[in-house]
Amino acid sequence: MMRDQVNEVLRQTMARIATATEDFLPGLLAFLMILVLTIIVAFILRAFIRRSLQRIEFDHHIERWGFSALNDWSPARSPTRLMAQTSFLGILLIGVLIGVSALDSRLTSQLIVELFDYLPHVVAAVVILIVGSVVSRFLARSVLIGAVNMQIQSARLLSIGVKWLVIVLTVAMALNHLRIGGTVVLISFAIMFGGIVLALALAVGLGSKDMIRQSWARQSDRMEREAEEQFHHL
Amino acid sequence: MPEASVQQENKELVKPPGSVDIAIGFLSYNNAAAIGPTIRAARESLASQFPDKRSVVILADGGAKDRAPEHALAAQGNQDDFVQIAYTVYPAQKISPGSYGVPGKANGIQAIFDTAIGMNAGACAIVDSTVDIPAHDSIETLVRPVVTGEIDFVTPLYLRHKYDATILNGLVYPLTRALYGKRVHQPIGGDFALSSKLVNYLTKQPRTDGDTTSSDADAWITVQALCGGFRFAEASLGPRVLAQHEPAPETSAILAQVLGSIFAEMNRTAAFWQRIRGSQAIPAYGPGFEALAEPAPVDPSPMMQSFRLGYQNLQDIYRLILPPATLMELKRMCLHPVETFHFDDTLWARVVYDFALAWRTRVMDRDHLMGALTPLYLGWVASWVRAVRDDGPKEAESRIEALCAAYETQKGYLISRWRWPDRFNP
Repeated sequence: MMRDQVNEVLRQTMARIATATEDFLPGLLAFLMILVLTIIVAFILRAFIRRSLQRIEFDHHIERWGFSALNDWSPARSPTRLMAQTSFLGILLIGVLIGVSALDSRLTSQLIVELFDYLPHVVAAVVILIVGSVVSRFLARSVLIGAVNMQIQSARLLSIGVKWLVIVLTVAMALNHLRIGGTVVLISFAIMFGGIVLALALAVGLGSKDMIRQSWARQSDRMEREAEEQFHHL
Repeated sequence: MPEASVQQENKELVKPPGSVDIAIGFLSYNNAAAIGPTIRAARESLASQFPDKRSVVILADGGAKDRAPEHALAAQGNQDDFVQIAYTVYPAQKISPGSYGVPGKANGIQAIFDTAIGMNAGACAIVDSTVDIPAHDSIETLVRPVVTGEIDFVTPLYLRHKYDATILNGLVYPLTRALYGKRVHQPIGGDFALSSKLVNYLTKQPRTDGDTTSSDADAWITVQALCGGFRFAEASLGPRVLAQHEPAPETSAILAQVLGSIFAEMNRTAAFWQRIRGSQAIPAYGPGFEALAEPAPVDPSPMMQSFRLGYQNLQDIYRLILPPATLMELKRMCLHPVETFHFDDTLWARVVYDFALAWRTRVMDRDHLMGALTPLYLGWVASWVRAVRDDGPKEAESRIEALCAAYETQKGYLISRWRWPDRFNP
C-alpha cells in the first residue's frame, strides 16, 4: 500500500517534471535560435560598421575634431573599433531581450518597459556629455588664446581650470539624469565645484596676483609705448 | 545687403539736385567734432580745383546721437550742394567687439552709391571720416584721375614711417598683391574714388550676409574691382592724420577683423586668383611728399615675448594648422635672442597661407584661429622692427618688396594646398 502510494507520488512528480520540461524546452530552443541569429547579425553589423568608418577615416576625423581622449578609451586606440564593438554589444543585448521574451513573456515585458522608460534618460545623459565636452573644449581654447594674447603666463592653468569646471558640471548633470547616486552626487558635485572655484580664486587672487598685476601693467605699458612710439598696426 | 530698407530711407532725405559730376560721400558716426570742418574743406577744395564741374557732398550718417549731421549742415554755406542720408546700422554691427571704423559701413557705402547713381555722378569718392581726416587737397588728388576718365578705382597711398602699418605691410599688401596681381599698397585704406562704371558694377554684384565690419566693406570693394578688370591707381595723400576716436582695439581684434575680411574674399574669388601669376605696378598720382622724420625706435622685446609665450602655449593649436617643418622652424626661432631674431620672409608667407587654408577648411572656430595667429604676427613684427632699425625709407621699402616677392613665389604652395587640402594636411 505504502509502496503504491510512493510510486504514485513519484509517477505524478515525474509527470509534472516532464510537463514542465515540455513547456520549457520549446522556449529554450527558441531562445538559443534567437541568440545564434543575433550573434550572426551582430558580427555582420560590426564588420559593416568597421569597414564603413575605416573608409571615411573616422579615427582621423575624431583626432582632428579634438576628441583625442577617445583614443585612450578605445580598444587598440581606435574609435572605429569602439563604435563597432558598441554596436555589436547593443545588437547582442537586444537579441538576449528578445530571446528572454520567448522564455517568459511577462518577465521580459516588465523588463522591456522599464528599460525603455530609462532609455530617454540615457540618451539625454549622452547628449549632455557630448555637448558638455564640446563646450568645455571651446571655452578652454578661448581662455587659452585670450590669456596668451594678454601675456598671462599661467594661460594654460586657467584654460585647464575652465575645462574641468565645465566637465565636472556636465558629469554631475548627466549622473542626475541617469538617477545615479541621488543627493550624494549632488552634494559631491557642489563640494567639488565650490572647491575648484575657491582654489582658482585663491590661486588668481593671492597666488598669482603679482603675475596678473604685471600682465595688466605690461598691457598698459604696451598701449602707452605704442602711442609714444607712433606705432600703429593699421 | 538691405537694399530695400536703405533706398526707402534715402527717398525721405535726399534732395533732388539733378545731375552732378563729382559726388563725395562722407561716412560719419560719433564724430561730430571733425565732420563739419572736414566737409567745408572738401567743398572748398573741389570748388577751387574743379570750377567747371558740379560737385555734391553726401553725408551718410549711421544714426549716432552726437549731432554730427547738424554740425555738418551748419558748416555748409550753400546747402544746394549738400545731401544728407541715413542708413541702417544693425545692433550686431554696433556691438561688434574691437570694430575699427564706421559700423555698418557696407550699408553706408551702398546708400552713397545709390544716391550717386540717382544723380548720375561721373565720379564718386568715399571718405571714412571716423578713421582719418583728409588733408586739404587730398580729396582733389583722390578724385582727379577718375574725373579725367583715366582710372576707374583710386586707392589712397598715405605716407607712413617704417614702423607704421605693419598689418598692411606684412600681411594685407603682400597677400592681395600675390593673389590678384596688382600692387595696391593700401587696399583697405578706408578712402577711395570710383568711376560711375565701377559704382554701377558694384551695385549689381551679389553680396553675402554677415558683413559687419568696415574692413569687410573695403576688402569687398577692392577685390570686386580687381576681379572685374578695372583700371587701378593710387593717390599720394601725404601723412595720415587719424581722426579723434576711441583708443585702437587690441591687436588680435584688428588682425581678426582685417585678415578675416581678406580671407573671406579669398574664399569667394578662389577661381580668379588661382589663374594670376606675378604682379603689375599701378600708376600713382599726386604730389611728392618729404619723407617723414625718423620715428622713435621701437623695442621688439615685448613682441618677442608674446611670440615665445604663444608658441609655448599654443602648440596643440598650431599642430592642426601648420606643417611639421614650419613648427620646427618656429621652435628654432624661439631659441634666438632679440639681437639675432629673424622671421624669414618665405616662412612668414607660408604661415599666412596655412592660416588662410585653415580659415577656409574651418579647422577650428575662426575667431580662435585669428587669435592664434596674433603671437606669430607679433613675432614677425619684432623681426621687422629689428631689421629696419637702421634703414631709411627706401631700404624699408625694398624689404617690403622682398617680402612681396616671397609671397608671390610661395603662391604655388598655396594653390597646391588649396586644391588638395587632404593631401597636404599637416
